[in-house]
Amino acid sequence: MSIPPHWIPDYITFDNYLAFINPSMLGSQRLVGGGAAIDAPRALLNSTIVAFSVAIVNMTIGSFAGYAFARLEFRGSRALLMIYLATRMVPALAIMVSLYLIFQWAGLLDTLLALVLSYLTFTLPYSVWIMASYLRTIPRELEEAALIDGCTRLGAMRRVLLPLAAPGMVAAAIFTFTLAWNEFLYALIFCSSNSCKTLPVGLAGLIRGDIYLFGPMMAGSVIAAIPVMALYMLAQRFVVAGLAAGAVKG
Amino acid sequence: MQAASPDQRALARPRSSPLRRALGRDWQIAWLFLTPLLIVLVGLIAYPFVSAIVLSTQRKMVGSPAEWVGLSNYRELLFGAQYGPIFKHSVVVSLIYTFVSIAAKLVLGFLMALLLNEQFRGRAFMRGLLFLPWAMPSLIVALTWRWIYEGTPSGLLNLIRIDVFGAKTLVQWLANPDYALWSTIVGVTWQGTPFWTMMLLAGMQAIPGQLYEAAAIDGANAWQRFWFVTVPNLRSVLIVTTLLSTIWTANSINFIYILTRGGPAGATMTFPMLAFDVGITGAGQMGMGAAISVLFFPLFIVAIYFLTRHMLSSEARA
Repeated sequence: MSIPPHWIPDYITFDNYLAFINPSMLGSQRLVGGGAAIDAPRALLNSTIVAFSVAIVNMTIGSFAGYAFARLEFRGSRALLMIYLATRMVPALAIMVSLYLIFQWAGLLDTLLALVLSYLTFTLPYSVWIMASYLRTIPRELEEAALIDGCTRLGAMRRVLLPLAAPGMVAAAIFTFTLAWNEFLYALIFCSSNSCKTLPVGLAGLIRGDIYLFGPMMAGSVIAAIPVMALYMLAQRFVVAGLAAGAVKG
Repeated sequence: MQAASPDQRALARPRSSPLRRALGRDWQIAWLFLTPLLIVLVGLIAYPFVSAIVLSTQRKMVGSPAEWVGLSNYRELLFGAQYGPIFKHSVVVSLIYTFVSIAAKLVLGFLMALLLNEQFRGRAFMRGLLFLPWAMPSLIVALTWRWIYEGTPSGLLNLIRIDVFGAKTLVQWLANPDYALWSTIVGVTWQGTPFWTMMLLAGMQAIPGQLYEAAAIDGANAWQRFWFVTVPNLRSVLIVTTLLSTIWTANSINFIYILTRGGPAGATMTFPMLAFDVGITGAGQMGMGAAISVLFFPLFIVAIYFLTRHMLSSEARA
């Protein structure tokens, strides 16, 4: 050991990135032979597809449901919203085994569709909550003016309300994108082949028994962290405003 | 249902059927808009949850047919010789894990939010930086902490101890049962605190400045302004944040899965990790795993109910 310790590396290498992207280049770092190699480009693609799908579905379902809770009068509105938000308290593990059996029955195991569907269970409560509380902050009078001017209810929603609710929708999309991008447990259970594994599962695959391939693992971590970091840098204001809308307004 | 305001009534369609009176003015379009949500709610949450309860009354191993055993899974967990002690231990570990990390997140998050609410150069940058741990994939955060805690000379903490302080021994942060739980709590707190800061900061910015001016005129010092203006105004934010953070922390296994997998000797075996261990990996007793999850569900509701009530009543006294 050197004293003082050197914190600045003597040389910089991108070998770990190569080793992460193409495991056959692990070379001397191939400490444990025969471990299932991960397909990093494929995992990156899988993560992207799943996270985008989850965000888009959330934005759509969340907007309609949020609108119904915020604006429409129907019996059981409050009760349904409470029940829905309470589903967030169902531990993922409690439904995981049943979901597994359902997906097995439907032949969806080891497909990205299973991931998107299972991610909806824990992302939708947030997007519904964000959208409902955000829509409540928009004055009713704007829509009523549109209705008086001859818009239909859908027209008023599309032309007046949704453009104003865009920050809330962005917040819901980014928040759920991040949750889906970062999810690990369901992906670990529902996926077994490289055609379905997402980036977090691929990264965890670099732990082989007691051996941690820290170099490639950290290289992969940087790659996995960049998209969410960039999103947050760009849109942090929206997310805070969207999340806080429900809490601050009570 | 609250009464409709006059202009709303004017907008409502003139014809009023009995169905509309019974189900609410907009029931048709409302349920239409809620259909996708209801499909997810029933098909992917309610049905699996009910079938998890059914599963918990069965003895089902992976790949073998289920056999109905009534409540014997629950009896085994609560009083049994094999699973009883493990289960009780996991309850204690879960409680410590959840409450210590929530308390730490509350204190640290509050301090950071107070700091970031002040005017200073570089505040926007600091805010952006502060939220990063929360946006980071928790798996990656856990892997990084795994490296920090590594029990070899290449682990960051051990490297610092040896290089800077000249230590001769290695500390097993994760392999020593006395340290493992606390090491895990530190990591999970590091990642969870920004969420608290974010929520509290948003709440603080919604407090009208006049309240502070009025308090200052009435002679309140900084501490009194904090205690009698800031804290009461953050009540609803605090309730929401505590609930969300508690649920996330208690249910998540990412950190523990990567850092310790519940070990050493069960020192970090929280209940979700135990359910995972029993139901999925290792023994693969799906029925027993489901029973563990189901058993914790009412505890959750009770905890959340008391928490909410306590926070509401302490507010009423203030």
